[in-house]
Amino acid sequence: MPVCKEELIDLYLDGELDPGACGEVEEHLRGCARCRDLLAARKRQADAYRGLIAAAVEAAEEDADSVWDAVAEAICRPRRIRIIRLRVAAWAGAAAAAAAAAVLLLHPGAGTPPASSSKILSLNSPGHDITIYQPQTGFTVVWLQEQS
Amino acid sequence: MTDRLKGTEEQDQESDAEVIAACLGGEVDRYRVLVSRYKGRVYGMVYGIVFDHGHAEDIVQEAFIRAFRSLGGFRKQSGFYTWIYRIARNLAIDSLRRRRPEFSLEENLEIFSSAAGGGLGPAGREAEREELHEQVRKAMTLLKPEHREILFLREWEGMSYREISENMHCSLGTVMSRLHYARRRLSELLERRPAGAKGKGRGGR
Repeated sequence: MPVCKEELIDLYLDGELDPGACGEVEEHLRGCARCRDLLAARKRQADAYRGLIAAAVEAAEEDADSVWDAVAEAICRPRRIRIIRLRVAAWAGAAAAAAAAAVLLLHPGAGTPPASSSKILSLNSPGHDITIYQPQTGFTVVWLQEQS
Repeated sequence: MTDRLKGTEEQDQESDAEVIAACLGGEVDRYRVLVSRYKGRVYGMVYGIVFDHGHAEDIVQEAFIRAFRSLGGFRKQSGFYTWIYRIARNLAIDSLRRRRPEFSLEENLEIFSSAAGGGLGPAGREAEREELHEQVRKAMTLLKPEHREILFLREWEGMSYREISENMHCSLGTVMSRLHYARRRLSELLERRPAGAKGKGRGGR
């Protein structure tokens, strides 16, 4: 390394030189104040950078729940809930129309069909299955189930 | 994938897989284990690209949410940290492309000149350290995303050039030139020298 080369100082700093080239750089550094200053400055700069990142990581580690709270809120709530208005009377007749309708939002795989009821309509929408059950007595059930 | 990115996940591989299996089985709360385990490292990387705490927190949250929603497609052989790292890194880089720079170079000349002092006593060292961090942070926001990322991989993750080339999908020559340019540019900004000026004087500070 007969002349000053910043690129070589970086390679030396990063341990990317073979032993022969490393020795040449060290020989040059002994006689070149400018390159010694550059090497020292690079180290200071790297230390300052690492200190900055370390402070950020430390702050994140100490703040135990901030990330989880936001993540939990997002992943625990049902996705893609849509309000679907169905004219129950058109499907189930006058008797069912007189009764109130219960709308169930279900996660994939949850629940079983209402007991003693007959399926009167089944629809597929993107991400959901929609089924209407008409029981022998009581509420008509609109079953909105998220697809797994 | 680099050895460095495998990092702690090798020893945690089994337990990560167990947690993921539990989540897929409906135990959503178990995901908290993965969030706690990796949020610090992921946050450090994201902050090392965006250099804004509020912005970094939003990205880290979004990354963990996206990862959870794709858990079913997770390939175990790559390791969870590598996977969440990729998601968060891409979100951070994409967000930089959509945001305007926090400072202009002209504004930075003024910002850095106000902090040029020295010779502080012990009582002022903590303040000086914080000020130096702030100078570095502002300077980093003026670097291009690829220069921010390569500095993070080298100075924080401690990757070799070979590992960086694998991680950034570029040649060893590109790693050398990109890393050298990033460091020189950072020095120039911290020294209030115009971009492209060749190195006279000290490079750090």
